[in-house]
Amino acid sequence: MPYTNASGRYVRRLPLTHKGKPSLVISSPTDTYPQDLGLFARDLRARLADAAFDPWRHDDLHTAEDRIAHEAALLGRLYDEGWNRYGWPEDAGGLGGTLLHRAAMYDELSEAGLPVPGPCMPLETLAAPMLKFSPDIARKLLPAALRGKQWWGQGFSEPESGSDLASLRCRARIDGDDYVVSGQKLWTSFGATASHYVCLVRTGTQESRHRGLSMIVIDREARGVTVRPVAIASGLNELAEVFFDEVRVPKENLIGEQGQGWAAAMYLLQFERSVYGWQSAGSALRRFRDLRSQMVGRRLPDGALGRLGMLYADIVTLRARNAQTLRRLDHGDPVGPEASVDKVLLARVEIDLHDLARDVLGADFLMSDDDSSRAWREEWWYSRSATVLGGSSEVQRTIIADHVLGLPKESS
Amino acid sequence: MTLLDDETRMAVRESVNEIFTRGTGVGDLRSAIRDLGWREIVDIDASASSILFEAQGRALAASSLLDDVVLEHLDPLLDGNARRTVLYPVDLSDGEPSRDQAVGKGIVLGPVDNVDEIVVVTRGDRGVMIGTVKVSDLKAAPVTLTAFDRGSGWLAVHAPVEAGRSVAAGDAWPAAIAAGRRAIAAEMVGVCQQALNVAVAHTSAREQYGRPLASFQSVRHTLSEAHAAIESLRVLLEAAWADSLSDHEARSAATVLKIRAGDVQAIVMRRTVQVLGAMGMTLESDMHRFVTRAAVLDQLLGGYRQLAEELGCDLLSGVPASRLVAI
Repeated sequence: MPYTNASGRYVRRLPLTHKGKPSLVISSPTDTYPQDLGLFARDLRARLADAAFDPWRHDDLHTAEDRIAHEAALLGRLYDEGWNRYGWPEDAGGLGGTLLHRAAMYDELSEAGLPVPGPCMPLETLAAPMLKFSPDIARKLLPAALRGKQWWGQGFSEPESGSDLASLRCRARIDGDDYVVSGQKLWTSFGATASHYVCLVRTGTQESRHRGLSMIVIDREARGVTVRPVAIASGLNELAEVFFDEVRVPKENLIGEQGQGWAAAMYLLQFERSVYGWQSAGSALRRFRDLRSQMVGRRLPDGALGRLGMLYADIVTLRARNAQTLRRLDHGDPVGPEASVDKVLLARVEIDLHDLARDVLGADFLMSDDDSSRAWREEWWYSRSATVLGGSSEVQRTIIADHVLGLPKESS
Repeated sequence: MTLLDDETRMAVRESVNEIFTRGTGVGDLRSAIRDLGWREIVDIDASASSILFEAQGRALAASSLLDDVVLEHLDPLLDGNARRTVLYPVDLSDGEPSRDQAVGKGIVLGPVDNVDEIVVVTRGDRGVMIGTVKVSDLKAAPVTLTAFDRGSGWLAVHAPVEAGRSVAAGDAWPAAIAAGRRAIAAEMVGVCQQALNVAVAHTSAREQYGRPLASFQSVRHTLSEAHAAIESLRVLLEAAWADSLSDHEARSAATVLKIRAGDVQAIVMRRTVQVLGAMGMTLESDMHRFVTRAAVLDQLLGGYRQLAEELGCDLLSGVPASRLVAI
């Protein structure tokens, strides 16, 4: 039934539209949200406090597959009400607005005690190069992703190519109207349930390293694609190994030009450093508050109070840095090697937060079966990825040394 | 509040750096800064004071410029136009005023010869009180502090506070602390940045095993960590000045900033001393001066370890963990 939201905007039901299910769309003669970020954030904050969102405020799910399906449903709800469509182009399923609308949404979710839906993470990182280099692909894939019906995996790393991504081997050769792809990808986040993989593939010679790479979207359902879930030590299938055995991929699925893969990857990295960082920072503050509540009335290990204060200070610092980087990105300024500082700060927060949880919760962390302890255990393992995935801590420090401090090169 | 544009900011920074590297006496420093048109600059953009304090930090200059920041909030409570200096409570490292209302114990930042009164903050059953003590009423001469940091020129003072000459501090003291912490954090950025500059220069020039020290990965990574820490302090300092913060949020932000300033100097100095080898721990280089200055700056208006513990305690007793930064 229709309702009037906090700012008096009338929310009406559209006629049956999507697969027979009615949709709610925020509607008014002049939609002021694209121009009024503050109003957007305030209205969203009021809406998310509603009991309709309670199913997502607590998590008692036991597999990565169940969790992402549950969070995809949250995204679907946000889509139906229009909230997550702000910040995306109208011809790709959006309602206008900027990157800052998306950032505001992720933050309001965290403030409301809600998770940033898993599908939003690859969405932010992978939609960016699509929109910039191949808008047709974005127009085709973004609507289902915004609805939470599909989400994507980032196929970059391989068994033999982690930090040295430019050495990757997964080959794509031209055959008629298709590329034929053979090889494998490893450590693909959300890979077990993804509908498409955005992959860096080698279209040039092995010796040409980064110059011989292209970025392409591969449908999971295409013949020759095999997916093996890869579990984090928590037991959750957060990652996957994906095998491509002579998979035919239409040439139109190329993001950018052939040989432009590295440029597309560098472009994408800006969004990973900034938006993913911001999503993580908001979630870290949410989990900080959860941990803080659990610490009340508990016998605490020595130094816990000081660590709690320091951690809060680190989280605020991380947010300040992320916000600055996001505003620069929104302004159109390139986000360069300095973004490695953002990654260093994020890694420290993730590790310190989860190590504090482990230390504070003590035997419960190790042995209790309640949902909260289980969640901390799972997240503790996942937090170990903060210094590894998306460019390891070692790589970030090398980037700062090379490109920010301008130190003498390491000799081979 | 408007902001200085980037070009103006850079020009101001250059002029200020030039004043500090000239190495003038404290009195000349104040006039040189005044002559720069400092009053007009901070009227346009209050956060420009960060430029001043960062320059002071880089130059390891000693001055009582911090008093101006603090007194801006306290002077309105006090009578007359006496020349004043502030007594910073360092007896209790949380920046809390002395619990003995009869005696103010702490430090002043420079000589009391050109000053008439010392402003003392005390706390007792009447709450936080601000009082003044005439320099001529000091029973003991101030003692210059040279134990760890030898160049600060700071003095230890015991000031007898007459009950009748104190007034309730009200909102002025928390506002003064927040402003003071922003200035100290800016100075800390300067001290740490210059320490890193020295470390980068040294390791880039010095060679062992046929190549510069800074070509070895562990040294490079160490310096990168120091850089990341300093950048984190810079961005937090900027965030602490945001217009969008309420008074209460600005005070929380200043507390967080002070904690980070102390943590950053710990991170940076451990690394810059290390990569300088024996040079770092001896009088053969200036690195020790950055270490000691950063350490005593941390003590002013709340040492970071103490503040962090108190913040943790507050958070556990229900003080909201506000996001402070919004997009």
